[in-house]
Amino acid sequence: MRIEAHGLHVRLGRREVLRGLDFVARAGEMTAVIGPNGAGKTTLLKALAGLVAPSAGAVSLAGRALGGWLPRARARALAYLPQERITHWALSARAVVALGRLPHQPMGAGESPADTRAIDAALTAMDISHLAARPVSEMSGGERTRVLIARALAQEPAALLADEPVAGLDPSHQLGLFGHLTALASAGRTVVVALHDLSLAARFCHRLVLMQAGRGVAVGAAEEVLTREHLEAVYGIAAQLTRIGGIPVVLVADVLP
Amino acid sequence: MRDFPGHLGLAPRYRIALLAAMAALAFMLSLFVGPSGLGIDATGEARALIFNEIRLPRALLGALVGGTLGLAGAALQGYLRNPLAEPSLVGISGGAALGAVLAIQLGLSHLLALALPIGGLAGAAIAMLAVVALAGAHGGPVTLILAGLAVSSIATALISLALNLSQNPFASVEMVFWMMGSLADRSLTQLWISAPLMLLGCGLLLTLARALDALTLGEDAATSLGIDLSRTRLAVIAGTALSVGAATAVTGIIGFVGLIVPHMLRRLVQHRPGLLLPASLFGGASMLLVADVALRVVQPWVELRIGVLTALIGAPFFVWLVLKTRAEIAP
Amino acid sequence: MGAAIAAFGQACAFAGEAAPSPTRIVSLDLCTDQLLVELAQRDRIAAVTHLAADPAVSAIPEKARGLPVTHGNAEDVLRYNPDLVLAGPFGVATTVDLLRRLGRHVVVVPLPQDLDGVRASVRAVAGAVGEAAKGEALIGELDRRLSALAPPTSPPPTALIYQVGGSVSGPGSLADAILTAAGWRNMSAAYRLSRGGQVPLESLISQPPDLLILASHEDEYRTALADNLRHPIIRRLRERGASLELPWRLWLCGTPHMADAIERLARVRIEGRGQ
Repeated sequence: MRIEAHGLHVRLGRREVLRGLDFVARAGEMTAVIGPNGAGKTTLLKALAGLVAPSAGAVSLAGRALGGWLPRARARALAYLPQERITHWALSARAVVALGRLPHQPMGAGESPADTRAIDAALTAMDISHLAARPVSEMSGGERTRVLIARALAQEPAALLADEPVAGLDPSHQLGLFGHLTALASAGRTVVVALHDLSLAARFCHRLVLMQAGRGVAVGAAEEVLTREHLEAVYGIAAQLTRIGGIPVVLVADVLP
Repeated sequence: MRDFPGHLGLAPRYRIALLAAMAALAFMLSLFVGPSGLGIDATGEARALIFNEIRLPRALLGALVGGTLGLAGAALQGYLRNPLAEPSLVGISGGAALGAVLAIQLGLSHLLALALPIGGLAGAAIAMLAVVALAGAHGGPVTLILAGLAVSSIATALISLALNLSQNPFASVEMVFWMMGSLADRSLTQLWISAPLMLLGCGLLLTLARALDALTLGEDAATSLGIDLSRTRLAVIAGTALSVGAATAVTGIIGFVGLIVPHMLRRLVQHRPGLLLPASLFGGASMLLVADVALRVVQPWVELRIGVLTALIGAPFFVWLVLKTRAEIAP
Repeated sequence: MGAAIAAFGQACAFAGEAAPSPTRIVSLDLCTDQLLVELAQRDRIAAVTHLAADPAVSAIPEKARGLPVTHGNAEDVLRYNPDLVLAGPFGVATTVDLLRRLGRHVVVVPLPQDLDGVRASVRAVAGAVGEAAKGEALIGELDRRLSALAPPTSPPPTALIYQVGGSVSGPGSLADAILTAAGWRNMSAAYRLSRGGQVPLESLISQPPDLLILASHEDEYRTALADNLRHPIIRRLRERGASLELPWRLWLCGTPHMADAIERLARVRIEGRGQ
């Protein structure tokens, strides 16, 4: 499912957070949204998910304007993982993951076999099947993050928007998650992730969107976007994209004055 | 969602059915206890009259009002994501009582019987909106309680004022009725008028199950799951105002039921806010019915009002909750 | 009991300076208001309470209309520079105390609990205002009307005065004495009353009185407490048996006007169904 936005302006309170941003994410691709703090990455993802209304510009999903989608239909097609790992009540991991099936369940319906399959698959994918019965309040930060990601996966969406999915995860789980996201993309879904970790973005994502102060600075493959000049201009660092053992890595040498 | 058998070995669905059975039992008990002990101390026409005009309305009222208060408490806690929320603590019951008192004092309920529950409804709605405005959309648990306290205080002051200014020689005793509640000697007619509003409000609140479950993940995630938050908020406000407003207009303020019942039952439904709604409905009905029976049993020795009884249990519970919440926020 | 009250009344009359015939009299109690208005000339009355002109609770509202009104606190009372203050036993103890310490002559008239007590309170007020003869005349009129009542029925039929909130007049009260004087037996003793003196509706329908007396019209008071007066059980009792509306004002205070109440009650007893 193709996600597009043109000339996106979003205002939060009095501040204009997104200033005329263009964005495209294609099916079968994993797109990374990168940029320094305050660039507007979270706001962009929220706008794409339909959580904030743009003051100008429009978002479309699969060619149809976002406003034209009924909320449940949109929820079946698009899953959003917020940056804040919120679970207000001490539900079991499985119950949290099962919340991802809500858009697929008619009012008052219980769990269907399709639901069970999706939930179990998500639990396995995030390596938390053994934690299914444990309340999320009794889990470590990393475990809870995996539970919440599993919830988004259980939605079986055509598009997945994840805001900082790997924050707080240890390296093995980071790689595991990205492995799974790559598989999703290969299976034809659209995956958009907002990331701080430039190396991960370079390694796993087909396209990178570099943002600064609400605008897009560069779009394209890692080599085109993560140039010395861009990194210096946007992040104020002396860094370069290189390969170590065939794996792309962004090495940060210094902070520039 | 597939139900996990818990320590009871029963799926939550069946646990709720058990709670419903408990409420039915409490209802039966309430029908059979009177001022002279078990059974009805009369024969023939008097016996039928007592059953139809005294026992039955009182039991029905206990079930409806108790269910309303339990359900409203669970709905408020789920929606506000705040374990301290409850209709009387958040000022809604106070607003409802004020609306009802004004409906009586201005003679409106004399012209039209329906004016009484509508007064309660209007008062409850205004109180809710006031609390939401004061506490802000993202107020924490304590801010909400403070706002609720402010609204309750204003409501109580205005009730005193209204009664003081009235030509009513019974003003001080009437104040006691509103502040401490009573299920006694309400007629079936009053019930017929208020019950539809209570049922409508409860029905609205029960539709929130899905939204409350989704809100476990926060507002953004809930919206992304297809929940319409503004419609949810409307349902919470309308449902609570209707049910608590109509209930308080008939019985006066009965507090703490909506605080205690959801807390006691939360474990039983594995913390799921959606399931907690019907559970608290039956739990609240049971609690109030049993409390009312207890009142009648001890009446020869001590005269208690129902609101006092629920407060005697509820206020210490509330203190314990506050301490627990404080410990969690700032350990 | 009556003798004790009479003696007490006499004792009170001698506290402070006692004018033989006071000309600036203030009354602080509804019951003393009514006695004062009956016994003393209007120009000797300095002030009465606002209740005296209230037709809901006063038996003589038209006579009290136009008289200055006091709300009972000491400063207000002193404004009238009274040479006699009449007070009841409830609610004004501190005011009475203050007035006495300021040297004012205060007569406290206890609430009568029976007919002897009524006579004693009339005498107490009459003595204090210097109209003893008029007081005796009022008492004579009361006694004449009482003796003209129909003879008692045996056994006496039962009656119950049922008020807002389910309160009933218990034994040993003035209302009880009025019922007895009219030849009824007060049924309240047969029920198990709550602490606040209320009879549960269930008991009322199980053992109904022969006559149900309501102190107010069912819609008279705007209060949730009056819901019991409109309860279907009360309405059924009224349809089924005899009931009577006997307004408060006739029997709230121990004045000779309660003879109106007694006569009405006696008539209902003889003639059967009241309304």
